[in-house]
Formats: sequence, C-alpha cells, structure tokens
Amino acid sequence: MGPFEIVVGLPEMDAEITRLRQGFTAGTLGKEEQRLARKLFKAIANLSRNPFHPGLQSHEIASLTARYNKPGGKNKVFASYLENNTPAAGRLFWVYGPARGRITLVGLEPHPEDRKNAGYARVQLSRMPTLAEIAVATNPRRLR
Amino acid sequence: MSTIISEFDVKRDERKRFTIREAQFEHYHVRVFDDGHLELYPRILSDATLSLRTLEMMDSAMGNARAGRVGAPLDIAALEALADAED
Repeated sequence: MGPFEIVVGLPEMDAEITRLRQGFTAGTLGKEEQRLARKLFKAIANLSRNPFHPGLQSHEIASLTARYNKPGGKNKVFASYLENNTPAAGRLFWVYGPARGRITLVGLEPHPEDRKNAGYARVQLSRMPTLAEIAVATNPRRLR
Repeated sequence: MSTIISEFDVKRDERKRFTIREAQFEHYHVRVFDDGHLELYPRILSDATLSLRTLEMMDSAMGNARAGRVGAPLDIAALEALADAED
C-alpha cells in the first residue's frame, strides 16, 4: 500500500495548508500554530506512506460516509489523528480518490476560525441504524 | 430487500408540512428531489460531534472533489522537512 499522492480539497483546506506552510517557512506563525503545522505535516507524510499508519489511528466516520454517499455508496470518509491517541489534538478528514493512488484531504479540526473562538458551534453526527436496531424499531415486541 | 409494510396518502397543511404516521425512528435524513419526490433514511444520533465550520469545509471540498476539482499534489518531502526542522 502507498505511497499515495496527497491532494487537498478546495477551497478552504487548500488555503489553510498553504497558509500554514508559508507561515511556517516565514516564521510568522504563533507557537500554537507552529505546533499544529508540524503535527499536520507529519500526519500528511505518514498518510502518504500508509493511510493506516498506527500513529494516525485512521478510522471511518460512518455518519460522514453516509452524508456524502447514497445508501450503499463506497466513498468512505476517514479521520486520522494528528497526535497519537489524542483526538483532541486535531483530526484530519480524508477520502480516497478522485484518481487511483490519490488521497484527498477534505477537512481539518480544529478549523482555523474555531481556534480563535473558544465557544464555537458543533454538530452532532448521526448514523444509519444497524439491522438489530431496525428490527427493534419496526417490531418492538419481537425482542421484549 | 425492503418490504412495504404500509402505504398511505398525505395532504400538505397550510404551513407546508405533512405527517408521516407510524414513523419508527426519531430522526430521519431527508432528500428532496427536483421532481417533487422525497426520500427518508432513518438516522440515529451518535455521541461524536464535529465543528460546524469543519463540516462546511468538508461539504465544499467533497462537492468540488466530486466535480474533479482538487488542489495540486502536495510535496510530501518538503512538508516532512518542515516538520523535522529545528525551531
């Protein structure tokens, strides 16, 4: 598996990576952003070599897969951690494609605007019910 | 394969709403099509949350990627060199 060519989603993800790269090179990033940029660049390099590198803890986010696919669609959305076993340190969201051997980075958390505001809007994710949950919902007496 | 277990007609009320009887789930994802038909998919809320801005970032990136619009490939060696650079 790999190496994968890494491309970035347009427009925000591309703009953010360009900003962090240029800021890092010019030394204009603050300490926190410099730390984030370092972790992000390392994660991208690991992702390119092996999307399931143990340090990334890559896993599918089923609710996002469902959001961007029709039921049964196969374009899975994955999240990888920027810091080993520390989801709060940041997450990178990605999908395979658009071409074979490519990975597209589609999202980053924390979002650059959220880093400026402590209290920012969050959304609760949802997922398709499992077959067992459907069985209970459609015939609650069956499992009583 | 899904089986139809009930079928009925509904009438839109004055506030452009209608009631789905016997809805088995608390949440549904609804798709509205330009020919007037609707699709509903049951959803269950999970504990995971995501920044609204990150979700909007992903919405636009996924829409553009689907249309074949993505940024230029990243220079991985250059990024790794920056990550390993001394302070």
